[in-house]
Amino acid sequence: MTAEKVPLVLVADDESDLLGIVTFRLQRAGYDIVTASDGAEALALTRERRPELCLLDMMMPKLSGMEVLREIRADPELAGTRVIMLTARALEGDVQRSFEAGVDDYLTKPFSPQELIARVTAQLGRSRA
Amino acid sequence: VPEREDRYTRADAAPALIAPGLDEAERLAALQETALLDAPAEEAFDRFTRLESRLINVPIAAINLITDERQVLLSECGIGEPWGSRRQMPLSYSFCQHVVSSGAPVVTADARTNPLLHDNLAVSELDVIAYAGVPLFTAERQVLGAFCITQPEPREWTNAELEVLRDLAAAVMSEIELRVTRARFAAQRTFLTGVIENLHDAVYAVDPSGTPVLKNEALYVMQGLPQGQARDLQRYHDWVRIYEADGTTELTMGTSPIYRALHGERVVREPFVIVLHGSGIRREVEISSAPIVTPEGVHLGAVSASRDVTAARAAERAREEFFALVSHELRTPLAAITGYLEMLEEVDGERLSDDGRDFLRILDRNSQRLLRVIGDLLFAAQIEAGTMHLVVQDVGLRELVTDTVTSAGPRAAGLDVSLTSQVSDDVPETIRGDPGRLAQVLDNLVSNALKFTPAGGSIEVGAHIVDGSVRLTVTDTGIGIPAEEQPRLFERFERARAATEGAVQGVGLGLAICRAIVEGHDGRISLESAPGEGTTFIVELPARQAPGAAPDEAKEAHAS
Repeated sequence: MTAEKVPLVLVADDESDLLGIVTFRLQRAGYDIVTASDGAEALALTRERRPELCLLDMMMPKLSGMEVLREIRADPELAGTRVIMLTARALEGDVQRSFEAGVDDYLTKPFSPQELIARVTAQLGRSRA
Repeated sequence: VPEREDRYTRADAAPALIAPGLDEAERLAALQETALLDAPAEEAFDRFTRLESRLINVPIAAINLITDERQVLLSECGIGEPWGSRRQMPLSYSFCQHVVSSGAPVVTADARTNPLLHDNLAVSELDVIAYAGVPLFTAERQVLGAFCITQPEPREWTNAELEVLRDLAAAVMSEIELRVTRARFAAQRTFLTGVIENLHDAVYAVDPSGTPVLKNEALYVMQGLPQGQARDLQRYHDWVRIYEADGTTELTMGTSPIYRALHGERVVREPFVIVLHGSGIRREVEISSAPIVTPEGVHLGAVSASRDVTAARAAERAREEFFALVSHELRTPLAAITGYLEMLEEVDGERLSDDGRDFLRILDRNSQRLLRVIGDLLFAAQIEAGTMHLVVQDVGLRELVTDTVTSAGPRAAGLDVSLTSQVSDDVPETIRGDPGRLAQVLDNLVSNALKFTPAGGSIEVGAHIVDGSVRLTVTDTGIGIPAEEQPRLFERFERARAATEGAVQGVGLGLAICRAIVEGHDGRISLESAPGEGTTFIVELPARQAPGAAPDEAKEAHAS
């Protein structure tokens, strides 16, 4: 254990079972996790808890991943928040739009645990495992 | 011919006319086509009989059309009643029928002494004594009738008089031919109008000044324009506005498809949106437009055809949304299953029995298999719907081949099949294509080869240059494919008999998907095989030029 602060990662997905997998993997990799089950909750928690990284599912109720991303990018107080978008393979146009909206990376579902950890680690700049 | 003239006509100084010798049915058809058989008297023809009568000072002149049952007096001068009003008479009164049957002039100074004419009723009842008749020839050398002159006393016709008769007969025929040609054009116009009116596409044409000159019913139907008298083409643009496909940029006169066509451009199925003024209804249309130019290069105007694709586009969007939804709904639970299986093994794997761990592996393997089948089915549905998307970029050829061999290596080793690669030195570093999809092609082909190659056999994945094309090959030493099964193998759900009988896994989509991907890259897939000796699948891809773009990109390319 070091005194260094453990990075907080927000994971938002309306599919609670998939949320469980991502949460399990990231906790095992040593991150603190906060979860949201829709876009509005994800945005509220991002403002309240200031996670270093948000993993946003593209298709969510209330606010889509894309809308949450735009809100984050429009808010100067959230500058520096990293965002990885989770998209379904069937919607490849989403990737293009995400980059235009300022996403840092994306993951295409289904993804392996190794892929997930690799992308998150790349964004947070260090390995926790 | 001279012999016959000696018998009943005076020798004619003009060159002998040749009898057409054509079928009588064709002659009668030509006669019908003039539409003159039961037409009222016309000044255009009466002018000729009057002129003839005056020019050579003869009391009676007539233009007679001869059918198979009667003589029709198209025009007459001096015949008198009742025939003048009836405008037709039985053939038993007709001298002119002999002109028609011989195709040559019939000339007599005194019919009473002429062996052919002396018992004709016209001699005894109508006092037709002197007679001269010349054929009315069509351009196709059909004789429709005769232009004739008669008088009730004997008369020796001079050559000059007969020449006048022949010249006027030719003038009469010009008049008749003019009418036939006009009627043919009118019929053709009616036919073309029928074609245009019955097109499902909305057609509209302008003259070189851009003034609308033609429309069809579909135009009004599609654009919901008012019926009847309100259909004033000049007011077309009061009713309809055309926008770019985005639905917001209104076209100016200079950017409208028909205007571009007027300036020589061909517009092929470009997407636009039209908005109807009254109702505000929006329709998505595809407009094609082309200049109309004579072979000599004279510009006559331009035509535009619009197709309403509103319903088709909506169906396409609904289908894509459906695929996305189905894809999500099928994959999400499977992703959860595989995810939690992995977690279970990690968390509790140590505590499970060997059997329990085996069961977990079997669960995982089957989930992965189901995931692949769902992926294949959804992709096949995309291909079917024409919505296959290729993400085109540079693809490293060597990596493509070695990655395939590496990833299938463990399976091949497990089956005791040797799996190697062979890449020629002269292949390019990269080709243009969708790396994921091209890898899928090679993976499918290698998976296939593994299914049909017995233990101890070998599989080689190759990349070569043949005739300027990149040739990717997957060669196995398997059981081979009989010639009769080869042509259908790339169809969906087709499986080789050996696959069916051998209970080999798969639904028969792999090769159909390979073909769709390869053709999407402007390439070709084929196979060479002999039963018992093995099979080579060959994928030929263009060495450098960009492959066929995804549908969206293709549309943009058209529009630019």
